Amino acid sequence: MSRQTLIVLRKELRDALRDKRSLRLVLLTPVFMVGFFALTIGFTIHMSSQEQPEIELPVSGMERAPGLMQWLAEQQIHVREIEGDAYAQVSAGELSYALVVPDSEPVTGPYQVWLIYDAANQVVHRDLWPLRQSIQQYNSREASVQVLARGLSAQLLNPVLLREANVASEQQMGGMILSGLPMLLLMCAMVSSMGFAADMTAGERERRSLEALLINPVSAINMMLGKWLTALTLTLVVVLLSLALLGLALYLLPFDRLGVRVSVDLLALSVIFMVLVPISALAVGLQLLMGVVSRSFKDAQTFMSLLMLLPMVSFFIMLMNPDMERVWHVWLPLLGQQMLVKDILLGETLAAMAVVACWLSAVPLTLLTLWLAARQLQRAKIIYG
Amino acid sequence: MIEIVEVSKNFGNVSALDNVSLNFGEGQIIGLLGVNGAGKSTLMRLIYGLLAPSSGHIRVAGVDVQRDPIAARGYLGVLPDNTGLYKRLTARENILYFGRLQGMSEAALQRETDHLLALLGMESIAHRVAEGFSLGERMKTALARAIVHQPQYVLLDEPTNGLDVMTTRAVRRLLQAQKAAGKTVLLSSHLMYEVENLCDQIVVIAGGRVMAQGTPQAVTQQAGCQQLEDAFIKLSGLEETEA
Repeated sequence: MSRQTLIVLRKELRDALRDKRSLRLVLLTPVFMVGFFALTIGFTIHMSSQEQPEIELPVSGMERAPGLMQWLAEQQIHVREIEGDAYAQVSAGELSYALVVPDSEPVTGPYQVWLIYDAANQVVHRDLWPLRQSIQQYNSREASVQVLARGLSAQLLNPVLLREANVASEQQMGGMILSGLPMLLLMCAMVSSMGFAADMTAGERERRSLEALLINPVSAINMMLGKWLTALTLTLVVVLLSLALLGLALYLLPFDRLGVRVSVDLLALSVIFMVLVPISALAVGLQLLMGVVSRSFKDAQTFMSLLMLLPMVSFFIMLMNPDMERVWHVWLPLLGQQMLVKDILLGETLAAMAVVACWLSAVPLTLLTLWLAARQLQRAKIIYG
Repeated sequence: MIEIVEVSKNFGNVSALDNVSLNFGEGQIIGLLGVNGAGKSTLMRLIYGLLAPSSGHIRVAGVDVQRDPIAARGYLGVLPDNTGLYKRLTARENILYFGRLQGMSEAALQRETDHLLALLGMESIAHRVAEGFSLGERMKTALARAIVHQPQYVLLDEPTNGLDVMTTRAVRRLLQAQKAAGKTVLLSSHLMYEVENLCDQIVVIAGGRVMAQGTPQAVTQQAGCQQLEDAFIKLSGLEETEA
């Protein structure tokens, strides 16, 4: 690194550190991000630990099915008789749902009861499932009793019994919950130094200091390198802060109450950092290039905010193809990082080669952005608008 | 010496400079006179190599600006037209930054910065951030920043534009000190009295061509006028609009 690069780095860092407003804003991002994540998890835990709410079932014609009513009451479902036309009351929205026991028995076939509900009302879905479940159970119980009474085995009614076993480890279940995190971390890496990169390029033009700066006997690439190192330093500070806060949140959140185990230790966080370094380097290079070719500071920021969309794109690609984990995918910047960060959070051990791959793929692209930015910086059209 | 040899510069179909040849020797203050759009700023930008000539070439202290702009810029100290400062840095830090980029040793840089701050009467603003500087304070800081590395050639684009009388005096004093130290100062201006009092040589540019060159008296005489201002108007071809 040349002496001139260091001079530029020192000046730009000092300049950035004095920009208290931008600095505060950038450092608050990880706080918001991790706070948002912790709230989401906290809310999930709260919801899952809540007891089943009591179900109150309005019934028309209770006296016509006393056995069913007693069974439902035993299942903690409060039945109560209603007057008038249940169908009309549900349509009018006075009731969310109702059970109707018709007064005429069918000539053949099973006895019919009607469950009337308004599916457009989101509230009813929570209660309908246990209700149906209870009525099904009543069905099979009654059937068993009657089959037994005729001297046959109750097994005849259930030739096949479905049982389920979930083999996902608790930690992998935790991974499901953490699936949004790689995107948040990548966003952090992509956008943290946006404002500073814009200030060092488009801002330099806008305040008319670029021309004077370029008259110094310093090569454009050395100048660009100094600015790049500044923005990279700031980005990595924000990424480190995010990881520290995230580690703290993962440590403190009561995941065991969700029945999952999340173990992201210091080593895992360090590997995540190593994976995020190359993407930060590339993102900062892109920011500077965008800043140099933008007409104004405002344009530069609009242009750069597109970078925020990129992690979303790779996130949705991963969401649509959950089983895509070919070896060559780690060579694609962003997608590779997304995959690796996800794997680390899932508790999988990474091949060292994968981390090397995501460095090797980002380095040439970063150098390309710096070379292009330095070349553009010297063009009369850029300097004089 | 700055040698400008048969330089032309076109922007698309517009000719900004047309076959200009000039030599600027050492220990002189040279005034570049011309109306807005005459080509003064373009000529300066060609000398410090941020614009490339369409034809011809320019040498600074024997270095071809096109071929080795970084070496050529090492001899130059430039105050571009309407230049800006880093507003979160103090006046002193603004000056130090450019001095370091010029490759000065830290001791010499500190010494020369103090000297310039005193010479331009900037002690009160030295440790204030540039945000909120008046026009004169900005101009003095930019000027000090341009010459802190004691360049052989000083190029100033309208250095006294909009300055108050005390600041103008400080700038004039500084330029005379440069001349006394054997440096070459090339300044563009459209203030006649300024140029007449300060400059050893003047160059009148109009429409991208050199119309006259010499001492202020010689140029005035050459145009057959009593006053430099009249000569300038005549040489710039502005008389018909006057009438």
